[in-house]
Amino acid sequence: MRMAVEGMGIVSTVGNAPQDLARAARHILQEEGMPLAVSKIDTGDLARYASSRALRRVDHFTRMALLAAYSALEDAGLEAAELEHTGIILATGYGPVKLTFDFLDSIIDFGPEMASPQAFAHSVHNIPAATIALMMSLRGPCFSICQLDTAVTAAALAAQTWLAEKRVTRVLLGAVDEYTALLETNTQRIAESLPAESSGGRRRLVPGEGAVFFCLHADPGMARHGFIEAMPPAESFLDAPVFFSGSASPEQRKAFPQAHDLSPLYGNMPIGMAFDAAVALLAVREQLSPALEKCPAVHCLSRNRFGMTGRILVTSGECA
Amino acid sequence: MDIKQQLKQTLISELNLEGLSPDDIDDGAPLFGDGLGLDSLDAVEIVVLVQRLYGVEIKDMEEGRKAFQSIDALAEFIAERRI
Amino acid sequence: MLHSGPVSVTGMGCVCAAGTNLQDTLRALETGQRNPLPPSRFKSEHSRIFPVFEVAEHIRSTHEKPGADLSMTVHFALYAMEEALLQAGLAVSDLHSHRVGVCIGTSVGASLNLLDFYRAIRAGQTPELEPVHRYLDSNPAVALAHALGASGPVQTVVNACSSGADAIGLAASWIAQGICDIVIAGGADEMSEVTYNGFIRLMIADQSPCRPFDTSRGGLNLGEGAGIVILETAACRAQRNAPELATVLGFGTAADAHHLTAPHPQGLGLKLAISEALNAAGLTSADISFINAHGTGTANNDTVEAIVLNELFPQTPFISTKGMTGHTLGAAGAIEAIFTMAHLTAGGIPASAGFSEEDPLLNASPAHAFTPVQGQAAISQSLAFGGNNSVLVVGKGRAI
Repeated sequence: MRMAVEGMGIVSTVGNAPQDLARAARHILQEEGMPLAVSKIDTGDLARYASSRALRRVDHFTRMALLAAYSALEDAGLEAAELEHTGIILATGYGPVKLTFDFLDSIIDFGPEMASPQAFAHSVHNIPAATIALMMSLRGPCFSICQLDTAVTAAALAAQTWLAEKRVTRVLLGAVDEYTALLETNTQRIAESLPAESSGGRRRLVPGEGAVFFCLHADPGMARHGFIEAMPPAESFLDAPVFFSGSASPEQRKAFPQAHDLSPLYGNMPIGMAFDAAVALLAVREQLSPALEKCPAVHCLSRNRFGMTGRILVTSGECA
Repeated sequence: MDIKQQLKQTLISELNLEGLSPDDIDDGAPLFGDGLGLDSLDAVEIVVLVQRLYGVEIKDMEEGRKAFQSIDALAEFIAERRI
Repeated sequence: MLHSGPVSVTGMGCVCAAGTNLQDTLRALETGQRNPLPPSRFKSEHSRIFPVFEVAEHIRSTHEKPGADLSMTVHFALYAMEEALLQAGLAVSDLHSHRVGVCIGTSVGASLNLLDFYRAIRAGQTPELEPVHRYLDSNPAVALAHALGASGPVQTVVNACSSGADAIGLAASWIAQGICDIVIAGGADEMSEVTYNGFIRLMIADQSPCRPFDTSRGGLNLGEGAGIVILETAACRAQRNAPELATVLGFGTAADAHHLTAPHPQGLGLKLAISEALNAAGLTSADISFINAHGTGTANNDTVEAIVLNELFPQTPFISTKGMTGHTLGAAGAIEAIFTMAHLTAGGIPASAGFSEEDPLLNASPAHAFTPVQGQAAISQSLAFGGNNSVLVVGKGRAI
C-alpha cells in the first residue's frame, strides 16, 4: 500500500521551505561530498501556531517536532481542529537528549533528593508526540519509535499498518533528532575508534538536528506531493536512484547503483532518512532539475551498525 | 530581598513564566487552577525548588496543597520550617 | 476500523520479580506473597526507602560480567524470548525459512541514562566508551532481531507505560495483514537509578509495597522484567502443527490529549481505546470476563480507571497484578497481557495483591480472593505517561 503525502513540514538548518531544501540538495548532488554548515535550529516560527504560554515547558526537541507537524498540516491546507481519525507517529534516533542530560545534571548538581521532576518527565521518549496530540487535541493513536538508524523505516511501516487496517485515515508521521555537544563529542570519539572505511564518511560530519513531518492520507487522491511506501516490493523501480543514509563503508554504498549521500544537508543524524524522503518527494516532482531529472521514483535506504537495511519508496504516482 | 519577592522570581525563572514580572503576581492569589494557572507538574517542581533554596522539605502533596495556596501561604510555610 | 480475525499466540515467556518463568510467576500470583526491597544494583541516596521489585539475582548475575556488551533490558528480553520460543516449539534455525518480525516496547531500554558515564564527563574525565557502545548495540528490537537473524520488520516502541501493549497490538496487525509469518512481540525494561529518582521526584512512588485500588494506596513501586509472546499466522501455525495457546482479538489505542503527566479525569482516552479494541474484536463489554487493569497504586491512575470500569464494566471482575510485579514500565503491557491470557485459559484470576480495603471514593474493588471466570475473552489495559491509553482484547486458544 502506498501512502499519499498530503503535506510536508520541514525544520532544518538549511531552512524550512521546500525551496531551501531543493537548493541545498541540488548543490550536494552536483558537487558530491561538500559539507554544509550545520547549526542549531531557531524555532521562532512556532509562535504562528502556539502561544508562548502554551509552550513554556516545551523543550527544543519538542518545539522542532511541533513546528514541523504544524507546518505539514498548513502545507496540506488543514487545521488541527478539523482532523478526525488521525494518528501520530514520531521517529527518533536518540529521543530528547538535552532533557535527558538536564535531568542527569540535576541529579549530579543537587543530589537525587532535589533533582528536577520536570526534566525527568519531559525526557520520557513519548512526551514530544504526546505534546503534539495535546496541543492539536488529537485523540487517535500516538506512537513514538526510538531506533537509531532504522527509526524512520519502522515508523513508516507503522503508519502504513494503521492506514491499511483503517485504524485512522490520516497519520502525522514525523522524525526528530536534536544536537547536543555531548552527542558530538561522543559520536566523534566513536567514529575515530572505527576503521576509516566503515565510518562511511561520518567522522567528517557534525551531528545535526531537525524535524520532518509528513501528513499522510489513505486516499491516493489526496497526494499533493507524491507517495511514500514502506516495505515496497523488491522488484519495483529497479533503475531508480537511491538516497542512502546510515552506516556503510564506501564499498557497501557502491553496491547500490546511483546511490546519493545527502547527509551534508542534515548532518550525522539517525533520522536522516526522513530528510532523504522529503528531498525525494521534491525529486519526483522535478524540483531538483537539472541535478536529478526524470525520476518518477526514489528509493530511500538506511542501514544500521548491524547491517540491517531499511527501505522506503517515494513515488510521484504518475507511474503506478 | 524579601522571601515573597524571591519566591516570585524563582517561580518565574524556573517554571518559565515568560512575560511575567514579580509585580504581576499577587501575594494572595491562587497559584494553581485559576490565578497563575500552575499544574501538578509545576507543583512537584516547586517542592524541589523550595528544598534547594530554603532547605524545607515537603513530604507529600497533602502538605503541599496547603503551602501552595498562594505566595503568602508558601512564604509562611517556609518561614515556619526553615532552620 | 477493519475487523480481522483472531491472531494466534503460540508461545509466551515472562521474567519479573515474581518469577523467572511464566509458570513460577503465575504460582506466585496465586499466593499473593511479595517482598519488594530497596534497590540492590545502585546505592539509593534518598533518606527514605522506596521498595522496588527486582528480578531474581541469579538471572541478573548471568549478565553482569565485565564487558557485558548488551544491556540488562535486552538480557531480560532474550531470556523471556527463549522461554516463549521453547513453548512454541521453534528453534532459532526454524525462523530462517519464515518472514519473522520483532516488535518490542521499552522505556529505560532506549534511554541515554548513562549516569556514571556522564558523571565522569562532568568531572572532567574521558571515560571509556563501553556504556555508549552498549547503548548503541542494545536497542531492544534491533538486538533481538540481530540475535535471531530475523529479516522481517523491526520496531522498538517507546510509549512509556503502554509500550508492551502497543508492541503486541502492532505485531498482531502485522500478522493480520500478512506482513509476517511470525512476530516476536512484547516488552522489556530494567531497573534504573535514573528512572527510580525520577518517579520519586514526581512524588508518585510509595515507601510501602504498593496497594492498587486500596483506600490507603500511596503510589507505585518500580519493577523490571520482560514479557514476550510469539504471534503466528494461521497458515504458519497449522503447517507446524503448533497449538494455539491464546489469541489477540483486538487492540485499541487513544491519546487523552489532556495533560502530560496526569490522566484525563474522566478517562476519555481509555474509553476510546476500549471501544476501539472491542470493535476490532467484534465484541461488546458483556463478552469480557475480566480485566487486568493498569492499577499502579497511584491516587490518580486508580481513580480514573475505577471511573471507567464503573461506567463500562460495572459487573466485571478486575485485578491489578502490579502488586506482585511492580510497575515494569515498558514491559508492563506485555507481561500483563500474558497474565491475562494465562488466567483466561485457567478460568480464574488471583486476588489483586496489595488490596485490602475499598476506597469509598472509588466505589470499585478489585477481586480480593481467587475468582473463577468464564468466557472467551478478557482485557488487559495500560495507561501511559503522556496520556496514551492502550487496550488489548485477548481470547482463549482454540483447538484447531
